[in-house]
Formats: sequence, C-alpha cells, structure tokens
Amino acid sequence: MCATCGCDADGNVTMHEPGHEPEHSHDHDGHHSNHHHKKVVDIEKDILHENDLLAARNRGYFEAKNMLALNLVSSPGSGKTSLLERTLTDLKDELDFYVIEGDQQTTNDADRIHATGTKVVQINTGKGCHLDAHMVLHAVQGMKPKQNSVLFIENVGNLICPAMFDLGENERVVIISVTEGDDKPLKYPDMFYSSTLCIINKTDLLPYVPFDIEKVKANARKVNHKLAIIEVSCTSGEGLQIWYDWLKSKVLTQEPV
Amino acid sequence: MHELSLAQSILSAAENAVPENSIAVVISVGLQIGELSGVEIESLEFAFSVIKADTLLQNAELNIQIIKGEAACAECKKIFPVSSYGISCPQCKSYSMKILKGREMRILNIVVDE
Repeated sequence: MCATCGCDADGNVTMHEPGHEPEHSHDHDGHHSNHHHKKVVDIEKDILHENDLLAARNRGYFEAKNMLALNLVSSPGSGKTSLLERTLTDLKDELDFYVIEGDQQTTNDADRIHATGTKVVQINTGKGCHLDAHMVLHAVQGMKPKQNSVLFIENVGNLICPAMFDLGENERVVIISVTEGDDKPLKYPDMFYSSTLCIINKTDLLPYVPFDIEKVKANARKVNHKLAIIEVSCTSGEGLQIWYDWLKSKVLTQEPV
Repeated sequence: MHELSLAQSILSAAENAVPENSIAVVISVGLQIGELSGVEIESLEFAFSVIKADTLLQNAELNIQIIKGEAACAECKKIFPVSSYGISCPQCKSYSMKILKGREMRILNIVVDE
C-alpha cells in the first residue's frame, strides 16, 4: 500500500465524490489531455491536527502539575452541573477543585459552581457547539491551578460534536439520565465509544419512568466494552459514594512527575 | 456545527501547503474520511464550499476517499467489517473489539495546476 495516500500497490486510486465516480490515476508527473501541469503537494495531516497539538499540550501541563482532568459530556439537562455541585460540596475538604464551564450563553452554570466556593471559569461559545483544546488552554492558564488538583471541564450540552474534540483530559465522563431513552448509547455511539466512565443519573425517578437500567448498561457495553458504569441520584445521594471512590482512585493513580 | 471547524482546518492546512509566491491554482484537496469518524460528508462539503470563497482554494474541490470500518474481535481474533459502532463479532457474537480502520480524518494532499 502506498504510504502517501493509501492506494493499491498497482497505483489505481479510487476517489469518491458524491454524485459521480471518477477514475483517477496516481500519477505525480503530469496528467491526462490538457496542457497544464498538475502537481501533487503532500500534506499528510489529521484534519484536527491543530486541536490535537493543543490537547497534547494541555495533557502535558496536567501531567506536570499532577492534575486529574475530566471532560463531562451529556445531552443538555442530564445533570452535569448538579453532579458537580454535589461533588464539590461533599469533597471540598478532601481535594482542590477547579471547574471550566461551557455553554453557548450566560454564566448561570458558573454562578452555581461559584456558590460552592470553587474556582470556576465560564466559556461562552456563542454559536459554537463544543469546547476545544484551545479554549481549555486559555481557561486553564487564567486559573493557575495548584499541584495535585482536580479539574472538571463541563462541556456544552451536546451528545454529538464534543465527541470529536480531544481537550487533553485524562477521563471522559458521559452522563445520561433515566428520563432519557435506554437506547441512547446506540443512537449516539461516538460519545459512548470515546468515554471512559458512564454515569446514569436521576435514579430516584426510576419508579416513574419506563427506563430499563440493565438495557442501557448492555447497550453502552455494546458500543464500548471497557466503559465503567455508575448509577447515581444527585437529589437522593444514592450511588454518589461509588462515584467519589472512583474519582479518588483516579487521583491516587496519577503518578507525580 | 463542527463540520465548519473541520472545513476551516482543511482550508488552513491546504493554504499553508501552497508553495510560497506560487501562481499555482489549487484544484483539489485530497482527504481520507473513515465511515466511523462521525463526519457528515455533505455538511463538510457544504461548509468548505462556503468558506473557500476569496481564498487560494476558491476553485478547489474536495476529493474524499471513504475508508471502510474494520474491527478485530478481542475474543476470537476474527477481523470483520463494521459500518457502525455496537455491532457484534459475526463469528463469536462478542462485543469486545478493537477498531482497526474507519476512524480516519486525514488531509492527504492538494493538487495544484501550475
């Protein structure tokens, strides 16, 4: 296989353009009938190479500061901010926390976090549908976090676009609530595939909704067999200790540089 | 929409690849997009067509090579095609697998007319 463009060894590349199927020969010197000279200039870069570079930079920064960085993703309304409010309040004497909030508009979520006494920065994306590594880099620079701290990045509520953007996090936590469908992992596989932990929230509402908790867990594992799954209720407190234990175990496994 | 971010990234990488002081016209950008990558091809083409105006790529088309998905079963080691996530191994029905191909999002080259 050609290392440049992945074509077959005999040089017959097929490129696909929706609408028609041209045959295109892999020929670097000159091309077909016209008098112009066509030249191929190699690029060989991932489309998201710039984001990936900045994500790697963030990752290096977190490692140097021995920080645990978590990217929280979900549909709008699954309970990301409520989970953070509970976690920050319950664990405030045990760990140093920092939060980056992402929303299109308002500082509502950052205000809620601020009320817990935690240092927080709100990123407003305007028309944007996801946070990217560049935004996180600037937010973190502004916060000057301490060594050995935990950074929560609450992404924009969106189960599609954030899946594609590495922020430099150590763990990606996808949150789904029992008021959503139990086939959610199959409908939004990219997000579940790219996550390391799935939190099922609002378990206190299970008696009132047709949500099948074993089915959602099976569906999530079909998409990502390595996904850890924790069931919680931020209102009743059920299951939160398991989440806190998971979080602390991740902090402890961070090796100081 | 994120296809706009991707299109901007493609435009920027392609512009940077044009030789300095060249009179060449970029006629196409070669891309490799995996069918599991989550990229919506039509949206990407639309976004690119909008942002290429008044740039070095204003006459360029996207030449997209679709890479089919392929996975290796973690249990029985069989290699099989996958067109989406959440598919089980056709041999042993396990859902434990490693994706080998299909997640690519690569800018391969530009073709210039000199």
